[in-house]
Amino acid sequence: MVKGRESKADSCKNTQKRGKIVMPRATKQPTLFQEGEIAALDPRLARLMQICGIEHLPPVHTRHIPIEKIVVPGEAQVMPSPRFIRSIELVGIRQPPSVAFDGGSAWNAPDATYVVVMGRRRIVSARQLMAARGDARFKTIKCEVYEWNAPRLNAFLGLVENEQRSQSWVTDVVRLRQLIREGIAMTLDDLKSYGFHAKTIKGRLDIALLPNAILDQICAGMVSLDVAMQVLRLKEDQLHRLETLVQDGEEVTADLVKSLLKRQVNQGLASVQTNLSQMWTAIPGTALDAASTSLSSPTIQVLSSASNEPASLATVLALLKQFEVQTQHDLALQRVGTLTKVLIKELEIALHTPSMTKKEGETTDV
Amino acid sequence: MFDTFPKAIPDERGCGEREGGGVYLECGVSPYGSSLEHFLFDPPLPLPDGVDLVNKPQLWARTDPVSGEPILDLETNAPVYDVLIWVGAEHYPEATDYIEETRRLGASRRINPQLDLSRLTCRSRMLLAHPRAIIASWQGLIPPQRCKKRLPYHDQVFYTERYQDQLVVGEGIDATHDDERVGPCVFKLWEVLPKDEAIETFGREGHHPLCLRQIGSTIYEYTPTGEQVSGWQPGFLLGLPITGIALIEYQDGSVNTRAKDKLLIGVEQNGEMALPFYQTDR
Repeated sequence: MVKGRESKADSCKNTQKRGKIVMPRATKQPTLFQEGEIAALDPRLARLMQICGIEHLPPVHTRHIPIEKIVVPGEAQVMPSPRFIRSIELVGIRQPPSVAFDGGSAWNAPDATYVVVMGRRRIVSARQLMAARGDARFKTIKCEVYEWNAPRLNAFLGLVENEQRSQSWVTDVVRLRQLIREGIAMTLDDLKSYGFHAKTIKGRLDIALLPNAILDQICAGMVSLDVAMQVLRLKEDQLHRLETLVQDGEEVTADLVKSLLKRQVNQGLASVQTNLSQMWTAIPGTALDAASTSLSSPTIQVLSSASNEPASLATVLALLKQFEVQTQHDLALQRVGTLTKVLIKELEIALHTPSMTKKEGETTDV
Repeated sequence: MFDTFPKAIPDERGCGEREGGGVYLECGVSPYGSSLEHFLFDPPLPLPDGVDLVNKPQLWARTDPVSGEPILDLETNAPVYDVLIWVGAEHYPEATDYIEETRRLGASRRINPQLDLSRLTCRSRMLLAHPRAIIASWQGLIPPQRCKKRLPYHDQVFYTERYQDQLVVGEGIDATHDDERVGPCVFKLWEVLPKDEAIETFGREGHHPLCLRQIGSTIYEYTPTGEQVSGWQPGFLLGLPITGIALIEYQDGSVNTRAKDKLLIGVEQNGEMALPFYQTDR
């Protein structure tokens, strides 16, 4: 919960020295938490602050900061996607990045510089737009300014922000559902041009279009994203079945969706099963020995045992093999050599392909 | 531990060489085996809705198409499991590339060693799917010259024989739009291979050219008709028996112990129906 805005804290003096965290003692400052909240601090937060090496959370103020005063750690490695930059260009920075006082005479002094805590891609995008298009909107950036810098806390807040982002898919679905209900005419291409990732937003949209009974559970946060995505794999029959079950009070669980998917795939595999069983009965002999259920070998070693094959075929094969060796030493015969190799393989296969008994009992050569 | 059993030939494949620690399902080759055509699905069968096989081989309990109940092995009284496997276009751009390689070298497909390999028995099959297995626009293409499964209403040979008495000598028949035609015949896949990807082309007067195509160490011939395919669908092409499992050794000679343990459990619980396995350095 972010509390406090530019007010009394404006007059505070910086007591921090660079490279060392010194806690300001001022009491009436806007802070990340209200005093009462700090008094009743969750022991886990107390533990976190201990780990971060701070006694309390830095006071925070909303300020417009010149973009050149903002330092992005590892800026060269921060590469916002084109669609992210497109989104910033289109609607500007709607959510102020968080920065922490990093250097200068005081956190609010004209010579102050700031390091980004959250919103590195936003700042880098704004900087790129400034440089490439001279976009004046980004000369100053509205930021949440922490009076002092606590690097360990920054790392933690960054993690929290990313975690929250990954959880926000339900909110996305709720909002899309609302837009759909209100009849907003927007295509996927529209959404893409506003900076949404096409695949992600399509997934969210598909979820938002699920039957109401299922969607209610999703919007209530009862279903994980994985399970919701599995629901999307259900076709009409099984989806309808799921809807009926949910209307009867079932919960959309991973097991339930899995069982419906399994049923769907089994139905789809029916033709495969039928073909398999026909193949099986068509194999010569009924014994399930490994050799008879394998592939016919094209190897030449068994040539000698193929005495029942026409002698002329074996002779041709032997001759071809002899000729193929000859072609290896003559550049002019290179193409003929390749063709001969293929011919040899084909003859080998033909020599060792047994006749196949068809289901009807008709014998054919393959 | 096992008598000799058919193995795949460890020659260069379209997907490269087998990797140490890998577990590979094999359909080996043997002079007593059946021809590859026998194991082809003709026409290829579409993938069921909702199944995602890309990079995820899956064990699937075989079910009775009518009752939907699992099919039990008469020997072990346990469900029969098949393995659904995706053959990617990254290594095998065309479905025929994989089929022809398998014809020559047998099949060898890497699977996730975390799968419960003890469930596989001699009755298990590997069902292989490819993204370009089904020619969606087949009805606009002429039937293949020859269906090697000799299925009715599949190929030119069938139509020529059927309407022989109505044809003048030397005259052909165009069955492209025949209502009774069945397809897409899997053997059409060879005829629509691109001519410009051939490693060698041999012109033949009055006939389509004879082309050679290479995938790994496999070179095979085809006669492209020059027809264009406007749409493809993924589908199952092959239902191969599993003749054994190869455990590829690391440099120190060890193999994936977890997979081996599972296979040993399988040997114990499946008895004579257990799949044989072997260790090899390649």
